[in-house]
Amino acid sequence: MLVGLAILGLILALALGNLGPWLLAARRTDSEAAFWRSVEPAQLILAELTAGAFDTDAQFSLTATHARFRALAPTLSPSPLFVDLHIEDRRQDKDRGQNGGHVVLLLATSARPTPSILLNGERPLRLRRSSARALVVEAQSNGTWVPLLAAPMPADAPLRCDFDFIARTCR
Amino acid sequence: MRALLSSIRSPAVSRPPAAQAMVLVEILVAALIIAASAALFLTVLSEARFGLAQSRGRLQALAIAADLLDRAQTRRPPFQLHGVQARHAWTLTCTDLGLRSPRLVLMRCEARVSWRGPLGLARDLALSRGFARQLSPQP
Repeated sequence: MLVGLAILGLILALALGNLGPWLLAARRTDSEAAFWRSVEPAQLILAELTAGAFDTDAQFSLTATHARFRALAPTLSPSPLFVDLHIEDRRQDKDRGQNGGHVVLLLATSARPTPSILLNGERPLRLRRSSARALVVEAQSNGTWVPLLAAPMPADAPLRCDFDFIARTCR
Repeated sequence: MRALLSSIRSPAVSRPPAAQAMVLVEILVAALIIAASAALFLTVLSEARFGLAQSRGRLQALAIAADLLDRAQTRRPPFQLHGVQARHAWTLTCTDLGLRSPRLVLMRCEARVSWRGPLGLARDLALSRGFARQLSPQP
């Protein structure tokens, strides 16, 4: 019986001793899975907005953490809107609730000024415009920047709006 | 002295051998349950990480291929490029489809990305797109 108790004690010690690191690993996996799950919806939203972007030579401003352009997205607004993409590094403020301690990609439009979170993860992010008029969101992986979202902006001409009252948008 | 020892001896010691064996079995079953729970938790964790690594590799490959296809429009076909990005090896092949106007040339590009998934399994993905490339800037 003493041997049995000793085995039980050993197994309990082994299980309880590793519980912390296991739970930490599980939480990290969960957080990373949430990040990768949000990549596809973010790609769809970004592609819809950049597909409607116009005058991308004159009305496009871009830094590594901020992009602003004008787009016509009839699903959001009948008139052209301003689109703001902003990367916020919240890794320093770990105690800011659910999104604290992460890097977030925020989207705000003139139709919906309250920013929505498109991506929320632990990797550093940056914005880039590729030579072929595409907006690229890159993530840092092992010290190198790799594309995460690529959204082409096909229209570069100014918008000439003939308002269509039936479709309730520009023609 | 013997009488004193027998008076302070725990009742379990004085149990019959069958009862002692039952207690031993109970302890062993408890140990097995704890060990099985830990093993199950670790299995779920490793499966989640396996699935995550798979989808991460695929999404990363998709993004690299889409970016390559976007960048392909700036070069004149035909051409073939190779490279490695974030442990993903890629090949971009663009061909001239032979249809052209004074201003545009029709081309088709294929971006093929290959990488090692979890357990070292080789994976690959190909995206292709046809588009008209401008031959010279518009006046």
